[in-house]
Amino acid sequence: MIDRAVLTSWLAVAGQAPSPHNNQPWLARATPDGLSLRLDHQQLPALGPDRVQFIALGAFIENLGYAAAADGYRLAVGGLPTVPRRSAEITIQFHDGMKPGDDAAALLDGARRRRTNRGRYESRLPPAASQALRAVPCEPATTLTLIDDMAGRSVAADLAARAMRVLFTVPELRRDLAPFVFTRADEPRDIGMPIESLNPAATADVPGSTWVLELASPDEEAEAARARFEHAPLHFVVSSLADTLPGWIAGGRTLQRVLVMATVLGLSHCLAAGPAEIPTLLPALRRLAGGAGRPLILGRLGVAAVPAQAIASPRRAVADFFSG
Amino acid sequence: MIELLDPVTDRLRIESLLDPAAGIKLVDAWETALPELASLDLPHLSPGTADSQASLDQYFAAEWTDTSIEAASTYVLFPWRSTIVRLPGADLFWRLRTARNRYLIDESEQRQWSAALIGIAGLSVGASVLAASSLTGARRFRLAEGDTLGPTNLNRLAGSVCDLGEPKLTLAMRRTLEADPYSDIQAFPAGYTPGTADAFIGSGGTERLTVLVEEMDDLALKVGIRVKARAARVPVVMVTDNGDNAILDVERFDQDPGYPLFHGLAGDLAANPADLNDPIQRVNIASAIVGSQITPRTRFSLTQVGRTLPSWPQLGTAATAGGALGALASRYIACGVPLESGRYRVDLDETLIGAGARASSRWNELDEAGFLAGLKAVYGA
Repeated sequence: MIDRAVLTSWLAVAGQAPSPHNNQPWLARATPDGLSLRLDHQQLPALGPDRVQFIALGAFIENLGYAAAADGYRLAVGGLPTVPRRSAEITIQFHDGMKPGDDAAALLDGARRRRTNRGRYESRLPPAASQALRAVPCEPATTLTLIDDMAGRSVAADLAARAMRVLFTVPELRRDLAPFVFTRADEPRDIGMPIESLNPAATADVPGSTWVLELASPDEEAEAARARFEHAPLHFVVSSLADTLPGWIAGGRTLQRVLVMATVLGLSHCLAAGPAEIPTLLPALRRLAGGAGRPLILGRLGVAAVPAQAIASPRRAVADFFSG
Repeated sequence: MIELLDPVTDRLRIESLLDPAAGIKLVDAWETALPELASLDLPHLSPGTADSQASLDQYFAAEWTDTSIEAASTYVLFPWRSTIVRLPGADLFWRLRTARNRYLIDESEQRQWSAALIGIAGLSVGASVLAASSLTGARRFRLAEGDTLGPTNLNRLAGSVCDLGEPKLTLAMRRTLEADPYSDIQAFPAGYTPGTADAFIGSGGTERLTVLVEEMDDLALKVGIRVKARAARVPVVMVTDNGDNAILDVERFDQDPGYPLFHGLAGDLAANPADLNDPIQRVNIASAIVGSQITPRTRFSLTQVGRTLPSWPQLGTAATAGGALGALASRYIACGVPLESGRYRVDLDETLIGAGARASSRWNELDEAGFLAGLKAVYGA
């Protein structure tokens, strides 16, 4: 059995994974040869499908792998159920005796430093960044599509804008988002997003939920998203061969590999799950991804024009999601 | 009435039934159930896409092998059809059968409704209430009816000429069990009688009904069953045909044990049981209960009962609407929706043609004054 302190240190890295609205929807329980993971129902919106939640769990697992690898352990994910039930348990086993790769420390460092930056990006990428990202190994049955041509980036920006408009137009989606945005007027919390990271121009004098439910303008948020995505030099889509729980976990792991590699390369990123989750936008995202499987998430990459906008979102303490 | 057979413990019985010499037809419900289960487990798939097909392939390979299908099955023998059905087990079948109710009836309501014990006395309009209740997920019933199916029933009761002469109770049970073989039905083939009142309504060690749907013709029995229901604090629902319309009466004896029978419209019926046996008084009491706010054609028809009509005229439209109304009222009560005692009208004719529905211009239509005069002339009412 892995020492609890070691597991805790690995889980601290895993808990840095991205999640929808930074809801950190994971629960971990120690088992004799590893961990059992599942979704934390208290952090989930009322209705499914829970695709993005399981993608977050996949990213969590990938981060766990970076931490374990640096200590010489290989991670193995147990047989995943095909049906994405919220109660699904995912077993993780750790096998020792693995020699850390040359890049293990850099990737672990990347996993720790990774931050979402919803600000603007410079229009150019560092040399060789695209090449390094194209070399990111994908999990089996998942694909990574990089989009750097003007037409493709314009489509991605349009999708991001339309998704943002839907998010702030549909009351049910606003209600889902409201608990996860906070301002100085709110009590400190360990989940969710500070309003500055979502909209630097938004007023911080009212509770975040008030801003989401009453003040945010669908048109303004949509156009801001369009502008940010249009200026990004590189977009990407992660897809999976099958639209099932194993596909989502695998997609989340591929996504995290891209984000960690981007961080290692000095790039910032921002994700947009809406185009993959909103049925009317999905066909266009499929075309953008080249039809290679089921698109799971759209993202943009680039060098942050204002690095300070990479505001660290809060994190749950490991003790809050890990039980022995 | 039916046999539920386990694929392991009842293997020999199943094999004997499946022997071609037995002449039993096999229906494998899984052929249609599997695609529907897939759509319930993976509702998010975009049909027609490559990843959708890949997901389904993965799903069937992982979830539904021949062995797992057989293990999750129950064989159901329907003797009157000489048919055996390999059916998904109770839980899976329940999931499939209520899938389209989702969100319209939430999970908690669906559980309450399926756990509710619904008593239906009288299976003419009562059969429509039973059908609508079963369709929406009720599955525990006590049914009382002593009559058989006759040709004149076929204007309002879903039936078949092949079944003429069969007990209405048997036919109702067959229809219910064919739609949900896991339904639990207690039959009272002699109909509701004072002697079976405690067993039907529930008292002492016998589970009390959640709702009593009273659809009998006999006035003395209608009064008697209410007296018993009120004593047991069982709510009563009754639907009455009114032309093409339906009238719903709700008596919440569960909430108010002092609530008067039939809302007190016919006085204290329990105090004068002898009146219920007098033919003229029966008409008077029935008229008082129903009232004169009925359709012009129903008014005319009522004045003809005992003269040119053998009994209360009824239409299939009203019986069907009444079935839905009675089932909905029963579900509201079972699920704790605040439904108060009282009379509720569903006037389909007025919905469609407005005030014209109240006109009494044809020979077979009576206005309220004409109706009351007719009743007085015919019955001395």
